Amino acid sequence: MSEPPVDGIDRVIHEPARLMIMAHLYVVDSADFLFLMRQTGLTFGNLSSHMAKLEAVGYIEVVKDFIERKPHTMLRVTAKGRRAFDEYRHGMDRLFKGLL
Amino acid sequence: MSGNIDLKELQRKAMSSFHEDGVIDIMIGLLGLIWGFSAFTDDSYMGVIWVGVVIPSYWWLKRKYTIPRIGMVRFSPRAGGNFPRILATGLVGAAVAVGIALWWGSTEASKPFFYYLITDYWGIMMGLCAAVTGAVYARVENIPRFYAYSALTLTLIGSAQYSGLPFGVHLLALGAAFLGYGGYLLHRFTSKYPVQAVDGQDV
Repeated sequence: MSEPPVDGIDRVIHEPARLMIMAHLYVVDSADFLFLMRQTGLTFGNLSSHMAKLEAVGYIEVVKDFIERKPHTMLRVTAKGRRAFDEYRHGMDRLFKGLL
Repeated sequence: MSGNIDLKELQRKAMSSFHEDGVIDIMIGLLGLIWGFSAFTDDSYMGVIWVGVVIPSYWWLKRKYTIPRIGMVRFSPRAGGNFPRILATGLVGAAVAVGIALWWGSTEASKPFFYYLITDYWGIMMGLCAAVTGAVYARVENIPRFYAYSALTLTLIGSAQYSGLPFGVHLLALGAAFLGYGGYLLHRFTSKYPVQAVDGQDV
């Protein structure tokens, strides 16, 4: 029996809080900090630290949006982040199939 | 945090929470009132004034009540939203329907049918168009209450022809219903979600 591909799992995304952040940002174009706090149930400090890690690896980016001509800071999953998230999902899928 | 991540469910939750505030209901109500009042006047500009009133009001209310409480989100087709596809399908469908109607209406054989349909059942036809639009919106944006609005719209607009009351009264009633329920939703929303200050939040 071949071993499940555990090594291929992205550990940055695998952490539960970061996984929730990535999943919430993946299904929208962009969202602000407060929206993510409300949706994920994470605290400000917790969310900040995980966002910093995701931003550091280039999975999310901070973008300046405008609402009624006023600037608003939004967060968005980058193309690299989308690819990583897709690969993570497929990797987990393969992993669990391998465990059967 | 739940142990199961369903992306469709997350998107549905994000969409429904952003429309939980009732702002869109208020805006449609306002639109109904403007059109209702315009039906009593000969001022044709009243019918198009909504562009200058409703759209800025929508964002004003969002900025004042929604964004400070639950934050801001933007949806996109890339992120899985199917609105552009349905909108494009609807527009193409409407264009084809209008084209067929014009073509069919121009032939003598079928002219009486369309004439009969539109002139004798104009209320039901208008109500149906509005109700279908509302139902499509409910489906696309995941707002179930718009199915009920669609039924109400069909009832109020469809009955306009037979009630004996001016058409404007029906539009005003519809606008008031949207506005009233939207106001209730906004009140409930502001009670449920207090304003949350977040460092670095611009708006």
